Amino acid sequence: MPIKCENVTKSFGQVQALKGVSITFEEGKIYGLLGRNGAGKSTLLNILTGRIFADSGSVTVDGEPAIENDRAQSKIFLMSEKTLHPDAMKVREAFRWAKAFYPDFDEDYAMNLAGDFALNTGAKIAGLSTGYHSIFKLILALSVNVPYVLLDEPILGLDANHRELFYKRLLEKYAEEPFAVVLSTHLIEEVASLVEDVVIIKEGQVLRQESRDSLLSQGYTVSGGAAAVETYIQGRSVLGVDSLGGLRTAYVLGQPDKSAGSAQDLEFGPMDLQKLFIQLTNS
Amino acid sequence: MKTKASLRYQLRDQRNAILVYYSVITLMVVLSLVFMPFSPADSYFSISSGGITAVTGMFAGVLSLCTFKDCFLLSLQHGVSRKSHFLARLGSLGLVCAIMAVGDEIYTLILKLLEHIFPGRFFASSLYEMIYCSDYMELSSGTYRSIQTTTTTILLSVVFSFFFLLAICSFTYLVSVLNFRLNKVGKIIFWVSWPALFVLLDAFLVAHPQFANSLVPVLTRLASMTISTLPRLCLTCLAASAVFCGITWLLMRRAHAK
Repeated sequence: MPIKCENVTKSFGQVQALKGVSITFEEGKIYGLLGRNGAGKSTLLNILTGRIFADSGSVTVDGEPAIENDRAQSKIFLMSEKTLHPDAMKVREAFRWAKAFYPDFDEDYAMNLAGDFALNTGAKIAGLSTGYHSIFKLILALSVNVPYVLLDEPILGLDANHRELFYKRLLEKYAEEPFAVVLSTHLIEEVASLVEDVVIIKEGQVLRQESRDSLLSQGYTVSGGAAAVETYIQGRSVLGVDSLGGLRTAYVLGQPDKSAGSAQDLEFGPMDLQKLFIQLTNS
Repeated sequence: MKTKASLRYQLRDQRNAILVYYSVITLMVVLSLVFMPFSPADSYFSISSGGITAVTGMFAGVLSLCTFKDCFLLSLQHGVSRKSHFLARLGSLGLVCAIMAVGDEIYTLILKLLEHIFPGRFFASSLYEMIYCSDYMELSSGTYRSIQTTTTTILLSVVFSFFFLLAICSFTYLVSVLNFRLNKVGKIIFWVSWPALFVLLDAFLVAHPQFANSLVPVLTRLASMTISTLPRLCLTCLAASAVFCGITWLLMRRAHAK
């Protein structure tokens, strides 16, 4: 049973943040929620968790209305960019209260994760650095044990080591018992190998919702000498071209034509999610 | 389940402040006892505490002003619906007022006990006794005769304090929710307009004394109708609390994370 939102619209004054968004997030899948700044990703996640209200449309969790419904909301956990915990609360207190609200919250696992990330559990939340703020929220999200975990910019301010550790722990947790993870991020390259389905939002509308493989199979990369690549891409739908010295890589929509005369000295590879995203969302 | 957890959190959020408040007023009594032997034998030295609930009312009002935002946002973080949060708030409001009403009475009784041990040195009466018990009186400046404390008086004092605190806490909580809902411009208009309104009203009454003369009897009669007896006061406070809580719910049900 999924989280389902249908025809959700939301405006902030003159700005229409969401325009009839319909999305389904199924249990046991990792989603990449992608969109440019102001596309409506955070607004959508906040509506799913009842933090803000949609102007119209409906949201259901496992078939029951999600808005103002404790039972439905107890299946979702949103780690948003903004921390909603009181400034004076300590990290370990936050873990204890999370257990009070989510009975399946694994306090021991949270404390172990805090140890892995070197997070001081005696520190006040307000005193944490940007990176440790993110780590604190990530630990909550990984320990909460609910069917749907929504992560809004989860790796904000995290260094490479901590990002690596987070991906590792996330995959371990997911392998133990699959749950739905929605990763809303701008670091597409990093999550590209993690996500199974991709949702692309552009200007408040869902541009694509399909599996990563299906999305990437719509294009390919072709690399080689500048002249050969230029000849090959003539008359084809090209998303973009990268140049490095005399070498070129072109991102092309469609299926590779290895039999073409100009293809002999070229290398073909899979499409890059970030390149595809950039092309799809460029106005 | 979430209502219970939210109630627990809201009570926990107010617990420390209440403990500090009662510790401070108890400490003042302890300090009085400590310094009593050092007072000159011929000097007049007495400690009187009349109507501690009036002070508790101010404290409870400020406490309620400070409880909304943190608790509400934490509830949203943990998927608690506004309805559950509001129900938990009603529960915590009732419990906190009951605890403080009992706390005030215990404080008053402790002072009354000291009055028996050190006659003439301590004097205590509850706000209920001061307002509604006719045999409480001031004999002369600084000397009092307190009423006979009975179980009924104690119970009525607690009832009085409970409803009195309930009305105050519901009102200040409403103010804090309203403040949360208002945007920046709304806040400025709201908080500037109230004092401005009072200044204008004052100027109007000075300019039109005949209006003031007719207003005072109306207000006196209104006060007599609403608070002249304990049952009337309880009903008034309860009605006021219901109205304040009703408006609070209307404001809270569409509030969102900021």
